[in-house]
Amino acid sequence: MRLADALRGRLTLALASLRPSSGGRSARSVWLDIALVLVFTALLLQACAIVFGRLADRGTSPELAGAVLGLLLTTAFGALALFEVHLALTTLLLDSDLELLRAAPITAGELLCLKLLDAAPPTAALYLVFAVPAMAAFGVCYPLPVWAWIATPAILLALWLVPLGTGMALSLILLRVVPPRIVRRTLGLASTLTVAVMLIANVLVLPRLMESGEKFALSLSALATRMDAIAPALPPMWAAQALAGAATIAAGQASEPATATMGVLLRLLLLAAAAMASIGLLAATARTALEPVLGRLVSVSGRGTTRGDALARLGRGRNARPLAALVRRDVRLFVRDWPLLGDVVLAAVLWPLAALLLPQAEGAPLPVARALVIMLAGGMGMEIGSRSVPIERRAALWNRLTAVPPGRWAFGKGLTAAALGLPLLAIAVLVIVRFLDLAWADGLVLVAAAGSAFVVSAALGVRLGASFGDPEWRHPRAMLRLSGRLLATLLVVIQAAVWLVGFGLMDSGLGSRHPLTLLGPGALAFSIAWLVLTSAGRRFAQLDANH
Amino acid sequence: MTDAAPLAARGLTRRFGALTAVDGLDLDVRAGEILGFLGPNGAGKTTTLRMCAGLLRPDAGEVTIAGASLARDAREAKRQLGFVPDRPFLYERLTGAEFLEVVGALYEVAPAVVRERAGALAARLELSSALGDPIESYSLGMRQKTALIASLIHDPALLMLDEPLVGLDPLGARTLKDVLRERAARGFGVLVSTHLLEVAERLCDRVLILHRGRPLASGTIDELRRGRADRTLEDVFLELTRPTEG
Repeated sequence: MRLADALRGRLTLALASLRPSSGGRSARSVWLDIALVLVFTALLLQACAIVFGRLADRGTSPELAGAVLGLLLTTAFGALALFEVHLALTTLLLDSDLELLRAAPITAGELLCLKLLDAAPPTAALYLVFAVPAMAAFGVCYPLPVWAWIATPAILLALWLVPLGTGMALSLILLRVVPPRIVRRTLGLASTLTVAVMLIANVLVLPRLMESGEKFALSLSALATRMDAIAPALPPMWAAQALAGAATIAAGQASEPATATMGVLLRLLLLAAAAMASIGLLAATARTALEPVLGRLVSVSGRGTTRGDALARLGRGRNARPLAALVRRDVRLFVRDWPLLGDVVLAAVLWPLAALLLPQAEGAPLPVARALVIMLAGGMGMEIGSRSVPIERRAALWNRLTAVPPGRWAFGKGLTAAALGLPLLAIAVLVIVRFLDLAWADGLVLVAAAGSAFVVSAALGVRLGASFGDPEWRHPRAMLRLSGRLLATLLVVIQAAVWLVGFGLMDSGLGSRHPLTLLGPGALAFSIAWLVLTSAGRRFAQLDANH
Repeated sequence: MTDAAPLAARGLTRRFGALTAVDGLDLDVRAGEILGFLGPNGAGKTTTLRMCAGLLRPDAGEVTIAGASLARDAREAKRQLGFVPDRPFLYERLTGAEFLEVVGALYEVAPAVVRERAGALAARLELSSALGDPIESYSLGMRQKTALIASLIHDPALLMLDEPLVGLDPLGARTLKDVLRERAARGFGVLVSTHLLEVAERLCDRVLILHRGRPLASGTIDELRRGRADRTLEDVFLELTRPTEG
């Protein structure tokens, strides 16, 4: 196989993804991805600029600021390593053209190269979001010489290659003994959680803490200084030290410029060597492990490993319970999809985490807490409800095939959302009550608000899922089509606003603990949810098996 | 079981834009018969089956299953119908046993009956040992077998199968054919869409050849041979569906 031909083929595929397909979905989703990358890059650039701007204003030396950069890059490096390996592994194992490529006259190594090439844009995009803003903000606050800016893309390339090569090599070794789907899902869940926590910390927590006073800056600097002990072993620290050295030279603060320059060069060489060693390790592992792993992907099917009679373990009731079966099925589908479950759990932890950012004890904390649980409940209801339809993929057509009325199907989805969401919501309410030192009676106020917001949002989610669910989804965050995702976001915001205004009015008229304030919204919410789920049932009844 | 025909479709029509996929088709499956549904690619077989299964709304026409109208009495009609689509609708993350439990519950079949029927069929199809595994680990043939068991779990009056032999091993294919014959012998109706003309010739009591959405010929194999015993169903099919010159 000629490399030029392979590259041309991949380029054709990439360009085709930018062209509108039937319904224009493919191109829209690529452009949306690009837009999201740019937005998050801008957000993180601002956050990092605050961090390094503060350090520069306090007269922190480039070395110490470089250590902070190293700390940020190391954190990003760790999280991205997981994400990168998960994505590359998914591309290698799940892409629809795998069988085609295996049948083509190419070596396993060439196949691996092609798949890494396919995985490059999404994995590199994450570096653009996390690593580039940190380096750029450092370079702006601690001016770098031109040659250092020129070296930056090479540094990023090396930082991208080190975890990719090493991680893929280790994964291939692991895949020889552990079932591929277990490896893939574990990596998926870990990467989703880590990347999300990083994003929250970088965008929300770091700048806020940085602005909150000297203490945090000092702690961060102290932590960064301690990193010196392990710096010789970490490629991101070499990158940060190289940039810090360059900034010191540019600022004229180096006592011996020649030695400082040699130090920078040495670290850049170390980084390049690590990248080459990582790719070498991958090549060596792929030579022996790739073919058996790909062969195993085929041989795992149809093995029939059940011990005992699987049917005998099923329910023993005398009567069939369709609704219970629907809910049990959906809960199983959610719980067994780890990356998807990770996304849902994130929705639960995101908002209590945001409580850290609240201005504390400014007047009444109850309205603030209620705002939090309403946002949490609205977001979670929508997350679970809207995904409960596309999670069935094409098997959703069973609702057309069987004798179960579509309305009952829709109500089953609502119950699934409740079964999954309400326990998480209860935990979140408990955390908020404890964190904000609220009275337990106020907890009831929060439960009433959260329950009402959740019920309506979950029902609206089911309705959106019925209209905009994409049965061919591959990423848990893209289970709805673009228009559906935008509408879902809009609906969460609108609902939150309506509930907040409504509760505000009831507070001022009746008081927050009045029975009508506690129970009225719930009754209204159930009525709205009933109407919306009935509409979702009608939509289910219209689902066609497309020709 | 009612005395009504397992399947009676009248004037079925479905258009996709400018293309008329099925054009005023009448289709009957009688009690106790296996009807072979044949036709070249794009003839409208899958579209017809999906309309008869309630998965696709016809632009015109009506489908009656065991006397119940699919449009007016959908619940009763669907209770009498089992369908194995060309690409089975399966839940990848469920085990085979869990999937059959769900399908049984959706057809309101008691769990004990589900266990009995599914267990017997799984044993015949040599699927029992895999029923505790997630469906995502199944081969194509195992998926087909699972879909077949699911379609029979409620003992329907009409069974429709779209290319059911794809992916089946020889034992699975033989068992499937035996099961279909047994159902016909019990007075149920079976509609099989297939490209395998030899299978249709040996299995089906009657065949209907569809071409460009319209019936081209129908009858028993002997009737289609028109008295010439040396002609195979393949000869008849090719003669009827071959594009005419000029």
